[in-house]
Amino acid sequence: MITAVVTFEPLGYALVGSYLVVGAVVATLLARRGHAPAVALGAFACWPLFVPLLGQRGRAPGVGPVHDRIVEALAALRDAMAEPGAEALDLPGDLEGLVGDLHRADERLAMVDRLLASVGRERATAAPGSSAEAAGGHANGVLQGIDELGRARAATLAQIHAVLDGVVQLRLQIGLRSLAGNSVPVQERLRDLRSRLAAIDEIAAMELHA
Amino acid sequence: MALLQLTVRVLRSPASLLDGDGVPLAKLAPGLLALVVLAGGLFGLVIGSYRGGIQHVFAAIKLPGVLLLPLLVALPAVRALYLAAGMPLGYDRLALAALIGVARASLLAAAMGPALWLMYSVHLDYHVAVMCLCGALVLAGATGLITIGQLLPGGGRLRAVTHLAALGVAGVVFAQGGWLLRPFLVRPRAEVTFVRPIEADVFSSVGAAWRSSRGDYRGWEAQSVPMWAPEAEPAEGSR
Repeated sequence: MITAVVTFEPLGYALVGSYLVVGAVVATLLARRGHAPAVALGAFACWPLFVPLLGQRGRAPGVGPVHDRIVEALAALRDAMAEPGAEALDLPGDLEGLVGDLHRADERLAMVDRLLASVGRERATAAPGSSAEAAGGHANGVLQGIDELGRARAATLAQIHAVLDGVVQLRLQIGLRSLAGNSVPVQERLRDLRSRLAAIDEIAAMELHA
Repeated sequence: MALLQLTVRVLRSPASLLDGDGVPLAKLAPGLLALVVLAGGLFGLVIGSYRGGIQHVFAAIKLPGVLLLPLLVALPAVRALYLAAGMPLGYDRLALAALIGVARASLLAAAMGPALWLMYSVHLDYHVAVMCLCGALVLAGATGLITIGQLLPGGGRLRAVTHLAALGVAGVVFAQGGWLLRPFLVRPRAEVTFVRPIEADVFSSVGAAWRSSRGDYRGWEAQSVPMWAPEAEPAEGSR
Protein backbone atom coordinates (compact mmCIF):
# COMPACT_ATOMS: atom_id res chain seq x y z
CA MET A 1 0.00 0.00 0.00
CA ILE A 2 1.37 3.44 -0.94
CA THR A 3 1.14 6.19 1.67
CA ALA A 4 1.95 9.74 0.64
CA VAL A 5 3.64 11.94 3.21
CA VAL A 6 4.40 15.64 2.83
CA THR A 7 7.29 16.75 5.04
CA PHE A 8 8.80 20.22 5.30
CA GLU A 9 11.25 21.63 7.80
CA PRO A 10 10.66 24.93 9.68
CA LEU A 11 13.68 26.38 7.89
CA GLY A 12 12.01 25.51 4.60
CA TYR A 13 8.82 27.34 5.63
CA ALA A 14 10.85 30.43 6.59
CA LEU A 15 12.79 30.45 3.31
CA VAL A 16 9.73 29.91 1.13
CA GLY A 17 7.78 32.54 3.07
CA SER A 18 10.54 35.14 2.71
CA TYR A 19 10.90 34.35 -0.98
CA LEU A 20 7.17 34.82 -1.56
CA VAL A 21 7.08 38.11 0.38
CA VAL A 22 9.88 39.55 -1.78
CA GLY A 23 8.10 38.16 -4.86
CA ALA A 24 4.88 39.92 -3.87
CA VAL A 25 6.73 43.23 -3.42
CA VAL A 26 8.49 42.94 -6.81
CA ALA A 27 5.24 41.93 -8.53
CA THR A 28 3.38 44.90 -7.02
CA LEU A 29 6.11 47.33 -8.08
CA LEU A 30 6.13 45.96 -11.63
CA ALA A 31 2.34 46.18 -11.89
CA ARG A 32 2.45 49.81 -10.72
CA ARG A 33 5.06 50.59 -13.39
CA GLY A 34 2.62 49.47 -16.07
CA HIS A 35 3.93 45.99 -16.84
CA ALA A 36 1.53 43.30 -18.03
CA PRO A 37 -0.25 41.09 -15.46
CA ALA A 38 1.65 38.07 -16.84
CA VAL A 39 4.93 39.81 -16.00
CA ALA A 40 3.76 40.59 -12.47
CA LEU A 41 2.59 36.99 -12.01
CA GLY A 42 5.90 35.65 -13.30
CA ALA A 43 7.77 38.01 -10.99
CA PHE A 44 5.79 36.76 -8.00
CA ALA A 45 7.03 33.21 -8.65
CA CYS A 46 10.49 33.96 -10.10
CA TRP A 47 11.36 37.48 -8.96
CA PRO A 48 15.17 37.18 -9.31
CA LEU A 49 14.68 36.98 -13.08
CA PHE A 50 12.51 40.08 -13.21
CA VAL A 51 14.56 42.42 -11.02
CA PRO A 52 16.07 44.23 -14.09
CA LEU A 53 12.53 45.31 -15.07
CA LEU A 54 12.13 47.37 -11.90
CA GLY A 55 13.98 50.20 -13.63
CA GLN A 56 11.85 50.07 -16.79
CA ARG A 57 8.40 51.40 -17.53
CA GLY A 58 5.77 49.05 -18.90
CA ARG A 59 3.79 49.57 -22.05
CA ALA A 60 1.46 52.54 -22.39
CA PRO A 61 -2.18 51.67 -21.67
CA GLY A 62 -4.66 51.35 -24.51
CA VAL A 63 -4.27 50.73 -28.22
CA GLY A 64 -4.07 53.06 -31.18
CA PRO A 65 -6.39 53.66 -34.12
CA VAL A 66 -4.77 51.06 -36.41
CA HIS A 67 -4.35 48.30 -33.83
CA ASP A 68 -7.06 46.08 -35.29
CA ARG A 69 -5.75 46.40 -38.83
CA ILE A 70 -2.21 45.64 -37.64
CA VAL A 71 -3.38 42.49 -35.83
CA GLU A 72 -5.40 41.31 -38.86
CA ALA A 73 -2.62 42.02 -41.37
CA LEU A 74 0.03 40.28 -39.31
CA ALA A 75 -2.19 37.28 -38.57
CA ALA A 76 -2.80 36.88 -42.30
CA LEU A 77 0.94 37.20 -42.97
CA ARG A 78 1.74 34.55 -40.37
CA ASP A 79 -0.88 32.25 -41.89
CA ALA A 80 0.73 32.72 -45.29
CA MET A 81 4.16 31.97 -43.84
CA ALA A 82 2.84 28.83 -42.17
CA GLU A 83 1.60 27.39 -45.47
CA PRO A 84 3.49 24.28 -46.62
CA GLY A 85 4.67 26.07 -49.76
CA ALA A 86 6.41 28.74 -47.67
CA GLU A 87 8.05 26.42 -45.20
CA ALA A 88 11.58 27.16 -46.40
CA LEU A 89 11.01 30.83 -45.60
CA ASP A 90 12.69 31.72 -42.31
CA LEU A 91 11.86 35.28 -41.26
CA PRO A 92 10.96 35.13 -37.57
CA GLY A 93 13.44 37.78 -36.45
CA ASP A 94 12.49 40.29 -39.12
CA LEU A 95 8.78 39.60 -38.72
CA GLU A 96 8.88 40.06 -34.95
CA GLY A 97 10.82 43.28 -35.49
CA LEU A 98 8.14 44.53 -37.88
CA VAL A 99 5.41 43.56 -35.40
CA GLY A 100 7.17 45.49 -32.63
CA ASP A 101 7.72 48.55 -34.86
CA LEU A 102 4.09 48.63 -35.99
CA HIS A 103 2.72 48.34 -32.46
CA ARG A 104 5.10 51.02 -31.21
CA ALA A 105 3.98 53.38 -33.99
CA ASP A 106 0.36 52.59 -33.15
CA GLU A 107 1.01 53.32 -29.45
CA ARG A 108 2.50 56.68 -30.37
CA LEU A 109 -0.63 57.51 -32.32
CA ALA A 110 -2.70 56.47 -29.31
CA MET A 111 -0.65 58.81 -27.12
CA VAL A 112 -1.17 61.69 -29.58
CA ASP A 113 -4.92 60.99 -29.63
CA ARG A 114 -5.01 61.04 -25.84
CA LEU A 115 -3.11 64.34 -25.82
CA LEU A 116 -5.42 65.94 -28.38
CA ALA A 117 -8.50 64.75 -26.50
CA SER A 118 -7.09 66.02 -23.21
CA VAL A 119 -6.23 69.46 -24.64
CA GLY A 120 -9.66 69.65 -26.25
CA ARG A 121 -11.33 69.00 -22.88
CA GLU A 122 -9.16 71.58 -21.14
CA ARG A 123 -10.00 74.22 -23.77
CA ALA A 124 -13.71 73.50 -23.44
CA THR A 125 -13.63 73.98 -19.66
CA ALA A 126 -11.05 76.81 -19.37
CA ALA A 127 -12.29 79.26 -22.06
CA PRO A 128 -15.40 80.67 -20.28
CA GLY A 129 -13.46 81.85 -17.17
CA SER A 130 -10.45 83.56 -18.85
CA SER A 131 -10.18 87.16 -20.06
CA ALA A 132 -10.84 87.75 -23.75
CA GLU A 133 -7.39 89.17 -24.57
CA ALA A 134 -5.38 86.52 -22.80
CA ALA A 135 -7.65 83.80 -24.11
CA GLY A 136 -7.20 85.07 -27.65
CA GLY A 137 -3.35 85.11 -27.40
CA HIS A 138 -3.12 81.65 -25.90
CA ALA A 139 -5.78 80.27 -28.16
CA ASN A 140 -3.79 81.07 -31.30
CA GLY A 141 -0.70 79.29 -29.97
CA VAL A 142 -2.69 76.29 -28.83
CA LEU A 143 -4.58 76.12 -32.11
CA GLN A 144 -1.31 76.23 -34.04
CA GLY A 145 0.10 73.44 -31.85
CA ILE A 146 -3.00 71.32 -32.33
CA ASP A 147 -2.83 71.89 -36.08
CA GLU A 148 0.85 70.86 -36.24
CA LEU A 149 0.29 67.80 -34.13
CA GLY A 150 -2.75 66.88 -36.23
CA ARG A 151 -0.73 67.12 -39.48
CA ALA A 152 2.11 65.04 -38.04
CA ARG A 153 -0.41 62.49 -36.84
CA ALA A 154 -2.03 62.29 -40.28
CA ALA A 155 1.35 61.80 -41.96
CA THR A 156 2.27 59.04 -39.51
CA LEU A 157 -1.10 57.34 -39.91
CA ALA A 158 -0.75 57.40 -43.70
CA GLN A 159 2.72 55.88 -43.41
CA ILE A 160 1.48 53.06 -41.19
CA HIS A 161 -1.35 52.32 -43.61
CA ALA A 162 1.20 52.28 -46.45
CA VAL A 163 3.31 49.75 -44.55
CA LEU A 164 0.24 47.60 -43.90
CA ASP A 165 -0.54 47.73 -47.63
CA GLY A 166 3.04 46.56 -48.09
CA VAL A 167 2.33 43.63 -45.77
CA VAL A 168 -0.51 42.59 -48.08
CA GLN A 169 1.89 42.77 -51.05
CA LEU A 170 4.36 40.71 -49.04
CA ARG A 171 1.79 37.92 -48.70
CA LEU A 172 1.37 37.96 -52.46
CA GLN A 173 5.14 37.76 -52.88
CA ILE A 174 5.26 34.74 -50.60
CA GLY A 175 2.77 33.07 -52.94
CA LEU A 176 4.86 34.11 -55.92
CA ARG A 177 7.97 32.75 -54.26
CA SER A 178 6.34 29.36 -53.81
CA LEU A 179 5.94 29.24 -57.61
CA ALA A 180 9.00 31.11 -58.85
CA GLY A 181 11.54 30.09 -56.19
CA ASN A 182 14.13 32.02 -54.23
CA SER A 183 14.53 34.75 -56.85
CA VAL A 184 11.61 36.62 -55.25
CA PRO A 185 13.14 38.89 -52.57
CA VAL A 186 10.70 38.34 -49.69
CA GLN A 187 13.20 39.01 -46.90
CA GLU A 188 14.42 42.19 -48.57
CA ARG A 189 10.84 43.37 -48.91
CA LEU A 190 10.22 42.76 -45.21
CA ARG A 191 13.32 44.74 -44.29
CA ASP A 192 12.22 47.51 -46.62
CA LEU A 193 8.94 47.73 -44.71
CA ARG A 194 10.84 48.04 -41.43
CA SER A 195 12.96 50.82 -42.94
CA ARG A 196 9.83 52.68 -43.96
CA LEU A 197 8.49 52.47 -40.44
CA ALA A 198 11.80 53.66 -39.05
CA ALA A 199 11.55 56.76 -41.28
CA ILE A 200 8.19 57.83 -39.82
CA ASP A 201 9.81 60.55 -37.69
CA GLU A 202 11.47 62.14 -40.71
CA ILE A 203 8.28 62.05 -42.76
CA ALA A 204 6.29 63.70 -39.96
CA ALA A 205 9.00 66.38 -39.64
CA MET A 206 8.92 67.02 -43.43
CA GLU A 207 5.15 67.36 -43.27
CA LEU A 208 5.48 69.98 -40.54
CA HIS A 209 7.99 72.05 -42.48
CA ALA A 210 6.27 71.75 -45.85
CA MET B 1 3.39 35.97 -28.67
CA ALA B 2 1.45 32.75 -28.69
CA LEU B 3 2.98 29.92 -26.71
CA LEU B 4 3.14 27.64 -29.73
CA GLN B 5 5.00 30.22 -31.82
CA LEU B 6 7.38 30.82 -28.95
CA THR B 7 8.00 27.07 -28.72
CA VAL B 8 8.88 26.94 -32.41
CA ARG B 9 11.30 29.84 -32.10
CA VAL B 10 12.95 28.46 -28.96
CA LEU B 11 13.57 25.17 -30.74
CA ARG B 12 14.38 26.40 -34.25
CA SER B 13 16.04 29.77 -33.85
CA PRO B 14 16.60 30.82 -30.23
CA ALA B 15 19.04 33.54 -31.33
CA SER B 16 16.22 35.35 -33.15
CA LEU B 17 14.54 36.00 -29.79
CA LEU B 18 17.38 38.36 -28.90
CA ASP B 19 17.49 40.20 -32.25
CA GLY B 20 16.94 43.92 -32.40
CA ASP B 21 17.52 46.75 -29.96
CA GLY B 22 17.16 46.16 -26.25
CA VAL B 23 16.47 42.95 -24.38
CA PRO B 24 12.77 41.94 -24.58
CA LEU B 25 12.74 40.40 -21.10
CA ALA B 26 9.27 41.70 -20.18
CA LYS B 27 7.83 40.45 -23.46
CA LEU B 28 9.34 36.96 -23.47
CA ALA B 29 9.90 35.96 -19.85
CA PRO B 30 6.28 35.05 -18.95
CA GLY B 31 5.94 32.81 -22.02
CA LEU B 32 9.33 31.18 -21.44
CA LEU B 33 8.46 30.52 -17.81
CA ALA B 34 5.19 28.96 -18.92
CA LEU B 35 7.12 26.71 -21.33
CA VAL B 36 9.49 25.57 -18.56
CA VAL B 37 6.59 24.83 -16.22
CA LEU B 38 4.59 22.93 -18.87
CA ALA B 39 7.45 21.00 -20.44
CA GLY B 40 9.23 20.39 -17.13
CA GLY B 41 5.94 19.33 -15.57
CA LEU B 42 5.35 16.89 -18.41
CA PHE B 43 8.80 15.40 -17.94
CA GLY B 44 8.16 15.20 -14.19
CA LEU B 45 4.92 13.36 -14.89
CA VAL B 46 6.88 10.79 -16.87
CA ILE B 47 9.42 10.39 -14.05
CA GLY B 48 6.62 10.01 -11.53
CA SER B 49 5.12 7.24 -13.63
CA TYR B 50 7.93 4.94 -12.49
CA ARG B 51 6.31 4.74 -9.05
CA GLY B 52 2.84 5.86 -10.12
CA GLY B 53 -0.04 7.25 -8.08
CA ILE B 54 0.45 10.54 -6.29
CA GLN B 55 4.13 10.57 -7.29
CA HIS B 56 2.96 11.61 -10.78
CA VAL B 57 1.75 14.90 -9.29
CA PHE B 58 4.65 15.36 -6.86
CA ALA B 59 7.30 14.94 -9.56
CA ALA B 60 5.39 17.12 -12.05
CA ILE B 61 5.27 19.94 -9.49
CA LYS B 62 8.88 19.63 -8.37
CA LEU B 63 10.74 19.17 -11.64
CA PRO B 64 10.12 22.69 -13.03
CA GLY B 65 11.40 23.98 -9.69
CA VAL B 66 14.61 22.00 -10.03
CA LEU B 67 15.09 23.34 -13.56
CA LEU B 68 14.48 26.95 -12.52
CA LEU B 69 16.43 26.90 -9.27
CA PRO B 70 19.88 27.57 -10.85
CA LEU B 71 18.41 30.62 -12.60
CA LEU B 72 16.86 31.98 -9.44
CA VAL B 73 19.87 31.39 -7.21
CA ALA B 74 23.04 31.40 -9.30
CA LEU B 75 22.58 34.17 -11.89
CA PRO B 76 24.23 36.98 -9.87
CA ALA B 77 27.29 34.79 -9.23
CA VAL B 78 27.42 33.75 -12.89
CA ARG B 79 27.20 37.37 -14.00
CA ALA B 80 30.00 38.32 -11.62
CA LEU B 81 32.17 35.64 -13.24
CA TYR B 82 31.51 37.00 -16.74
CA LEU B 83 32.12 40.60 -15.66
CA ALA B 84 35.38 39.56 -14.03
CA ALA B 85 36.37 38.02 -17.35
CA GLY B 86 35.73 41.34 -19.08
CA MET B 87 32.51 40.35 -20.88
CA PRO B 88 30.02 43.25 -21.10
CA LEU B 89 27.01 41.29 -19.90
CA GLY B 90 23.83 42.92 -18.58
CA TYR B 91 21.75 41.09 -15.98
CA ASP B 92 18.65 41.24 -18.19
CA ARG B 93 20.53 39.74 -21.14
CA LEU B 94 21.92 36.95 -18.96
CA ALA B 95 18.50 36.25 -17.41
CA LEU B 96 16.82 36.04 -20.82
CA ALA B 97 19.58 33.89 -22.34
CA ALA B 98 19.44 31.52 -19.37
CA LEU B 99 15.65 31.39 -19.52
CA ILE B 100 15.72 30.55 -23.23
CA GLY B 101 18.33 27.83 -22.60
CA VAL B 102 16.33 26.27 -19.78
CA ALA B 103 13.12 26.46 -21.83
CA ARG B 104 14.88 24.69 -24.69
CA ALA B 105 16.26 22.02 -22.37
CA SER B 106 12.80 21.52 -20.83
CA LEU B 107 11.20 21.13 -24.24
CA LEU B 108 13.81 18.57 -25.29
CA ALA B 109 13.37 16.68 -22.02
CA ALA B 110 9.61 16.65 -22.58
CA ALA B 111 10.21 15.39 -26.12
CA MET B 112 12.16 12.47 -24.66
CA GLY B 113 9.29 11.79 -22.27
CA PRO B 114 7.38 9.25 -24.37
CA ALA B 115 10.47 7.06 -24.84
CA LEU B 116 11.24 7.22 -21.12
CA TRP B 117 7.61 6.49 -20.28
CA LEU B 118 7.71 3.42 -22.50
CA MET B 119 10.83 2.14 -20.73
CA TYR B 120 9.37 2.76 -17.27
CA SER B 121 6.18 0.98 -18.24
CA VAL B 122 8.05 -2.34 -18.60
CA HIS B 123 9.08 -2.35 -14.90
CA LEU B 124 12.67 -1.32 -15.40
CA ASP B 125 15.16 -1.99 -12.60
CA TYR B 126 15.44 1.04 -10.29
CA HIS B 127 19.11 1.73 -11.00
CA VAL B 128 18.62 1.40 -14.75
CA ALA B 129 15.67 3.80 -14.46
CA VAL B 130 17.91 6.29 -12.63
CA MET B 131 20.55 5.99 -15.34
CA CYS B 132 17.93 6.55 -18.07
CA LEU B 133 16.71 9.65 -16.23
CA CYS B 134 20.26 10.96 -15.87
CA GLY B 135 20.95 10.31 -19.55
CA ALA B 136 17.85 12.24 -20.62
CA LEU B 137 18.75 15.14 -18.32
CA VAL B 138 22.35 15.23 -19.56
CA LEU B 139 21.23 15.31 -23.20
CA ALA B 140 18.65 18.05 -22.63
CA GLY B 141 20.90 19.99 -20.25
CA ALA B 142 23.88 19.96 -22.61
CA THR B 143 21.70 21.39 -25.39
CA GLY B 144 20.39 24.07 -23.04
CA LEU B 145 23.90 25.02 -21.91
CA ILE B 146 25.18 25.26 -25.48
CA THR B 147 22.20 27.47 -26.31
CA ILE B 148 22.97 29.78 -23.37
CA GLY B 149 26.63 30.00 -24.42
CA GLN B 150 25.61 30.96 -27.96
CA LEU B 151 23.23 33.65 -26.75
CA LEU B 152 25.78 35.44 -24.59
CA PRO B 153 27.73 38.34 -26.12
CA GLY B 154 31.27 37.83 -27.38
CA GLY B 155 34.47 39.39 -26.12
CA GLY B 156 36.27 39.13 -22.82
CA ARG B 157 39.22 37.06 -21.68
CA LEU B 158 39.40 33.35 -20.85
CA ARG B 159 35.95 32.79 -22.30
CA ALA B 160 36.08 29.00 -22.12
CA VAL B 161 37.28 29.06 -18.50
CA THR B 162 34.49 31.48 -17.59
CA HIS B 163 31.91 29.21 -19.22
CA LEU B 164 33.26 26.28 -17.25
CA ALA B 165 33.21 28.23 -13.98
CA ALA B 166 29.62 29.36 -14.65
CA LEU B 167 28.68 25.79 -15.48
CA GLY B 168 30.24 24.67 -12.18
CA VAL B 169 28.26 27.22 -10.14
CA ALA B 170 24.96 26.44 -11.89
CA GLY B 171 25.68 22.70 -11.76
CA VAL B 172 26.22 22.72 -7.99
CA VAL B 173 22.95 24.62 -7.48
CA PHE B 174 21.12 22.24 -9.82
CA ALA B 175 22.49 19.16 -8.06
CA GLN B 176 21.77 20.44 -4.56
CA GLY B 177 18.30 21.66 -5.66
CA GLY B 178 17.51 18.23 -7.03
CA TRP B 179 18.80 16.70 -3.80
CA LEU B 180 16.63 18.97 -1.64
CA LEU B 181 13.50 18.29 -3.68
CA ARG B 182 14.01 14.53 -3.99
CA PRO B 183 12.54 11.94 -4.35
CA PHE B 184 11.57 11.91 -8.02
CA LEU B 185 11.64 8.27 -9.06
CA VAL B 186 11.10 6.68 -5.60
CA ARG B 187 12.41 3.17 -4.97
CA PRO B 188 9.74 0.51 -5.38
CA ARG B 189 9.34 -0.22 -1.66
CA ALA B 190 10.15 3.21 -0.24
CA GLU B 191 7.54 5.57 1.15
CA VAL B 192 6.21 8.24 -1.20
CA THR B 193 6.89 11.74 0.14
CA PHE B 194 6.73 15.18 -1.44
CA VAL B 195 10.16 16.09 -0.08
CA ARG B 196 12.43 14.36 2.40
CA PRO B 197 13.69 16.08 5.56
CA ILE B 198 16.70 18.33 5.02
CA GLU B 199 19.79 16.21 5.72
CA ALA B 200 23.39 16.60 4.67
CA ASP B 201 23.89 17.45 0.98
CA VAL B 202 24.28 15.98 -2.45
CA PHE B 203 28.04 15.55 -2.05
CA SER B 204 27.62 13.34 1.04
CA SER B 205 25.22 11.22 -0.95
CA VAL B 206 27.63 10.95 -3.87
CA GLY B 207 30.38 9.96 -1.43
CA ALA B 208 28.17 7.31 0.16
CA ALA B 209 27.18 6.00 -3.27
CA TRP B 210 30.85 5.85 -4.27
CA ARG B 211 31.73 3.89 -1.12
CA SER B 212 28.75 1.60 -1.65
CA SER B 213 29.88 0.86 -5.20
CA ARG B 214 33.19 -0.38 -3.71
CA GLY B 215 31.44 -2.65 -1.22
CA ASP B 216 31.65 -0.34 1.79
CA TYR B 217 28.09 0.23 2.95
CA ARG B 218 29.00 2.34 5.99
CA GLY B 219 28.10 6.01 5.81
CA TRP B 220 25.74 8.60 7.20
CA GLU B 221 22.93 7.64 4.87
CA ALA B 222 23.13 3.90 5.45
CA GLN B 223 22.85 4.53 9.18
CA SER B 224 20.26 7.27 9.36
CA VAL B 225 17.84 7.02 6.47
CA PRO B 226 15.02 4.50 7.03
CA MET B 227 14.71 3.96 3.29
CA TRP B 228 17.94 1.98 3.37
CA ALA B 229 16.95 0.03 6.47
CA PRO B 230 16.42 -3.72 6.03
CA GLU B 231 12.59 -3.52 6.31
CA ALA B 232 12.41 -0.89 3.56
CA GLU B 233 14.81 -2.53 1.14
CA PRO B 234 15.82 -5.97 2.28
CA ALA B 235 17.45 -7.34 -0.83
CA GLU B 236 21.17 -6.56 -0.81
CA GLY B 237 21.59 -7.75 -4.34
CA SER B 238 18.90 -5.46 -5.69
CA ARG B 239 21.07 -2.33 -5.31
